Amino acid sequence: MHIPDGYLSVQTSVPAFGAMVPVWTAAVRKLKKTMELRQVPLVSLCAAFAFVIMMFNVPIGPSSVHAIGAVFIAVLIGPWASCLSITVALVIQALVFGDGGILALGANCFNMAFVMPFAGYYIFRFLKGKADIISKRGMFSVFIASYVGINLAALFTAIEFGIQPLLFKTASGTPLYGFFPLWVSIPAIMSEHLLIAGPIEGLITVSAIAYIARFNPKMIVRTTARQSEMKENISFFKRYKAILIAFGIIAVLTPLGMLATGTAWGEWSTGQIKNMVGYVPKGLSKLSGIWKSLFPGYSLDKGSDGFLGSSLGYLLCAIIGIIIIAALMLLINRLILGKRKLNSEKNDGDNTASSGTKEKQEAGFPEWMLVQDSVDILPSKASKTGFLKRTMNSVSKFIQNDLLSERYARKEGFVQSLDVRVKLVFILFYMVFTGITGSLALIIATAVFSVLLAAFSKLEMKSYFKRVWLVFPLIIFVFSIPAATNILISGKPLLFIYKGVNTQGWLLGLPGDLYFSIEGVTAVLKTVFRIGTCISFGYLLVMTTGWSRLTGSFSFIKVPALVTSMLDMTYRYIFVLTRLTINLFESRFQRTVGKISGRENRKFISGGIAYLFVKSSHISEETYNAMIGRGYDGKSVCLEVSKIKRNDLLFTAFNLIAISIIIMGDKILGK
Amino acid sequence: MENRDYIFNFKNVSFNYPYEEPVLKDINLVVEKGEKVCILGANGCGKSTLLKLMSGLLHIESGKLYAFGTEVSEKTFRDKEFMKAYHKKVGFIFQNSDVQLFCSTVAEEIAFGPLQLNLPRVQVQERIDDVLDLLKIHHLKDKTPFKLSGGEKKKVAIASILVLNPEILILDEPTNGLDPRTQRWLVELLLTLNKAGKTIITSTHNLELVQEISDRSIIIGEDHRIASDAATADIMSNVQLLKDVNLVDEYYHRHDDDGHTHYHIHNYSHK
Repeated sequence: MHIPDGYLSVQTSVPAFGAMVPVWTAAVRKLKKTMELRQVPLVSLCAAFAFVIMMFNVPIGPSSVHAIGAVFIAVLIGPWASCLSITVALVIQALVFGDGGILALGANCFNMAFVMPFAGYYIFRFLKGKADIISKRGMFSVFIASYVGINLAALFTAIEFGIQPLLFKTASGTPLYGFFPLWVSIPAIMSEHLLIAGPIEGLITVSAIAYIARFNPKMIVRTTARQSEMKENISFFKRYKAILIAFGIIAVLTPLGMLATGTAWGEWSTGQIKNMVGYVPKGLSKLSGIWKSLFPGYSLDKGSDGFLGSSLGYLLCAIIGIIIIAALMLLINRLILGKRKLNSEKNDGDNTASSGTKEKQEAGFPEWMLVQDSVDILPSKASKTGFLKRTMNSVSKFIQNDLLSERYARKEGFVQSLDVRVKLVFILFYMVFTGITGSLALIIATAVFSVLLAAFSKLEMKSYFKRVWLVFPLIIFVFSIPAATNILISGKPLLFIYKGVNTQGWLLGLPGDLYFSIEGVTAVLKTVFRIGTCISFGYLLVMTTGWSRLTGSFSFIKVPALVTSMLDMTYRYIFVLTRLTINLFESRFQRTVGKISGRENRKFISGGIAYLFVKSSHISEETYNAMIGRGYDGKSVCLEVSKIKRNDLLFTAFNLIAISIIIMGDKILGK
Repeated sequence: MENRDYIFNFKNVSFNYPYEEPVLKDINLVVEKGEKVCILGANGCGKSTLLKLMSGLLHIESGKLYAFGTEVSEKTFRDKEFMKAYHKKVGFIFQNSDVQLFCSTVAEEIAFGPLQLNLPRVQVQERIDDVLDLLKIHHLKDKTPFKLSGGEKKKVAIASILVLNPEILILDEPTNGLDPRTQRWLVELLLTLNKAGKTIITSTHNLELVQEISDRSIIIGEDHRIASDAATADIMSNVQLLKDVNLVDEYYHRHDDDGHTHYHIHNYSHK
């Protein structure tokens, strides 16, 4: 769900920032006013926590997805704090990992740090009613809230993707940004989230909260008012009648909700589109046929076109999702809540056992320990990296990355010698510029410029190319290949895939000719280079600066000191938590003998998440105490004051000249 | 108050965390200026909580606590000026250095306290340099605290407190996780600070060090009450007492040869 830079138009990502600024301001104000100072480290810790759990790969079939945790945090510490936490996590991901763009931060935050926690939180509050959070109804509400939360976030992402080709295009009708319109982006993104990522997010959130409720009820008590004890012996349907009805309504409203956002995907009958945007995508009429045949299940009513058929498709998706959820809920009820009684009895048993260890010691070892088990070590069969390894890899990547950036930041390269603020301004400028310009030549020129800067900064070029150009732009390129054909972007043929074979339209309703169009290929290349350039500048900024100096410069772009200190603290906590995570996974890895089922693994993950959260909140309280112990009263004071030097002026002058040349070039070439 | 020189005076103090069993019951205790006091007790008996009450990070639930001649409670700490003055006087060093180091460089870490207390920047810089020299960690100045080794972290944590020049230094299990050489260094440092007039209050499990870093020991039993409060030498020779509070087991014993006394934990008896 992390949108990279260069994929959204600047005209989308900047307003998204605009939309987030009041939200952030309100959140910070809220934090300052209604929450205690005590919450500051807690919010940072939740951010670190969110960051870390986004690296937890949850196995599902052959692939894996990760949870976001926005609703989890919102339920525990409130939506405003959750909003800030997720924002901070996303900022660090964008800056350090290049996971999600820097310019696209506004949009990413809007989806994941605004829509998701708030929607989730209020759904939770609404469904929970007066019930106890650890009652069945409470757990049910948590599940639904996180399920709906992540799906709403995904829906917004899909819409942001999908409106790009509609809003921005050249005079000839070639889209400038993104190629997949709403009727591609929404089904693609939503089907994944309705069916896979959504249930996973819900499952993880609910089990993590259940774990916390079981092992650290203090935390739940502190954060949510605990009320009446739950009543026993009422049938499932009776107890959940209200929820089930609400759920049914939500399901029915799913497609309507999409309509209500104003950019429904089903409505693209050619006439309407013409009215709306004054433009008819040429491929559209041809493609409605393909769509039907690719997803026959979506169009229950073959007779109707577009809207109704697809609506039913979504409804179907939602229903399948609900069935899965209902099944999971029953399972969870059984697994977690049903076991609670048993467990509490068991815990009592454990306590007496531990007090009796002395006797045990005297009695000596159990017999089986004295016998050497015969275990044969078989020659290893190399297999696919398991999810444990995968998670461990991504966790340790974070640490490597930071070490790398420290090493680079100390080298005496050109970009390193610049003042951070100067760097920040120009790098942002070049990112925006590649986003705005329509000329492929200029985008490539900017890309080359960023490569040169990287070389002057003594970055290791091999790893630079690998990190910046090989992975992400290449993936985008592969995914965008279909867009370069005349299906999506028609224009002058460049390379025929076939010619006139398919005149009857028997093959999936494809058009008569299929070829790569010049316009299409240019558009794809533009996007690929645009994304690459943005990542390249982002990488350059982070790699030559070092974290503390980077955040130190944030006050220059008017980021409140409170937020900056939260960013700093989060970054620090990530280290503490990643170390914990690595330990957790290593111990698990070390104890792994034989094959573990996917369910076992998922259980382990949610247990791990709950453990991390409890640990996080403990650390945050201690840190707050440590801050108070040194006279902290909410003020943040910085030791270092940076000064503009000669190199900065030179760089500024050079860039101003370069920019004026580029802008003139854009005037000429951009036409 | 009959004794004007006390620093802390606990009168029938009890404490419990919300929704949990009491961690301290009926504590009566006076700490005087310039003392070296050590708090002993098995895991979970409430040592850390007692230290946190002293350092004003937690507040008593019942009973009375006087510090520096005035009564101290949650209410008095709402006064920011009082709070700052108190924290400047009483420095607390956490058992886990990780929670105590939250800034991005060592220099900033050390500067945090003085800056919060509004000291002029020039003076802050001077103090940072002095403290770094005192602890011989000048080479760490621009490093990131959380990537240091355990011993270095502890030194930075101590530096970040010493820079405030507190009168009372409270250390929660200070030698935990330190190598023998660093432990030695820490003991020397604490003794020097004590000679310079600072009151040193520590909690520890390290019975070998207790006699060196304290003149007086307070043992908290597993019932969360004070089991004993006496001169360290007396307490250390009372092995039965140490066994009663579950601090040691039957293999624990002492050596008294060559006029030097030290303590041992063995898993077997020796000649």
